[in-house]
Amino acid sequence: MPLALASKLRFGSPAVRPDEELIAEVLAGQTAAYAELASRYRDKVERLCRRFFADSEIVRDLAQESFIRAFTKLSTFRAEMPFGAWLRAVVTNVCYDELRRRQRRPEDLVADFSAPEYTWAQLVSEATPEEIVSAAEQRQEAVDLAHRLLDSLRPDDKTVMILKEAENLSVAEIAQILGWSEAKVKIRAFRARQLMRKRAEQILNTRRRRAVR
Amino acid sequence: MNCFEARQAFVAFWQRTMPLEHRAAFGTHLQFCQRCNRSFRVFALSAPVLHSNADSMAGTPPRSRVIVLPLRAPREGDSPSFARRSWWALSAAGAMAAAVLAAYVMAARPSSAYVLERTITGDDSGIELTSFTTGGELFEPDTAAQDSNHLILQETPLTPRDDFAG
Repeated sequence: MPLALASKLRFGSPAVRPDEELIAEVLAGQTAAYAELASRYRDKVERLCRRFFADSEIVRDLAQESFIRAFTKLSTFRAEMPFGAWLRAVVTNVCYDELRRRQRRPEDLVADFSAPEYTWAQLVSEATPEEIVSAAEQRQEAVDLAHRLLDSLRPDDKTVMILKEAENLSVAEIAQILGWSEAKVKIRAFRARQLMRKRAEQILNTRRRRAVR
Repeated sequence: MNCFEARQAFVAFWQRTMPLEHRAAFGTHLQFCQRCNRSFRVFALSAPVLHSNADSMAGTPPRSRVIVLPLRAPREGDSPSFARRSWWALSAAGAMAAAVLAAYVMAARPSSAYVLERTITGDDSGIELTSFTTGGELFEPDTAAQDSNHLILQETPLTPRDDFAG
């Protein structure tokens, strides 16, 4: 046995308790166990919320709301499903509800970029693929413009887009999470892709029009 | 690399999970294929959110990491967001208390309009009720939350493919 592995076995951190065990404790009234459960999934929950919203405050509130909703619905959790998948459905629905509450007019969202966003759009339009990827890693405006683009979609379309593209879920899985038919998910996904492309072209063409002026 | 392969490789290229030799082939294809080149640029506009694999890409982290937990174990009939609703309930209770106080004052010292109405109708049963109408909207159900409640109760197992499933 390699030395590193042996030392890890001897002095390593205590065994990780399975989610199901913690859930059982919470349901039995030991609510402190939920803190451990929440700490395991906090980063993933916040990351998913950040796909839906750019604002840090909103992300924090939604992550918290998701954990509270998950806590109150914990008795409906069934062990045959991984807790992470169940929690993702909860988070998705919290974010989807928030999207619908905050619904805005798409045309307001694609127009009027900030100066850094405009610069980023210009770079995307003209730089090489390698340069675009490298630049995107350092630029907050790349994230801002991507959010602006996604915000121009309807809540249904945006949610499907995030689950399909970012979470890499199948049509069947999305249908299950959102309670829709698979046909509806397919239609929404198709429509979302078309709209995204249209809006993206709009952004790139806006840059061109401005450049001509 | 053909167009189909190039488009399949957008995510891997963006996330830098593509081998170097494939990256070169990808770059060459985009250099000579205008349609794929344009598609990649369209893809690049949404990729910072949809295909980011690093937390740092998503901007500044939330300031607070405190998770507020309810102090009792969850029950079957709990509201999906009772923390928010409890705040509303407190506000509603305050509004109702104020309304009751106002109604009490009105009943103790009837105004001329009240006396006139009573004289005309001979019935004052509706007087107090009018004091409570302003607080009604506080108790309207959260329709958005109700719409999605059933979604959480799915019992059929999902088959997650990524790290979110733990």
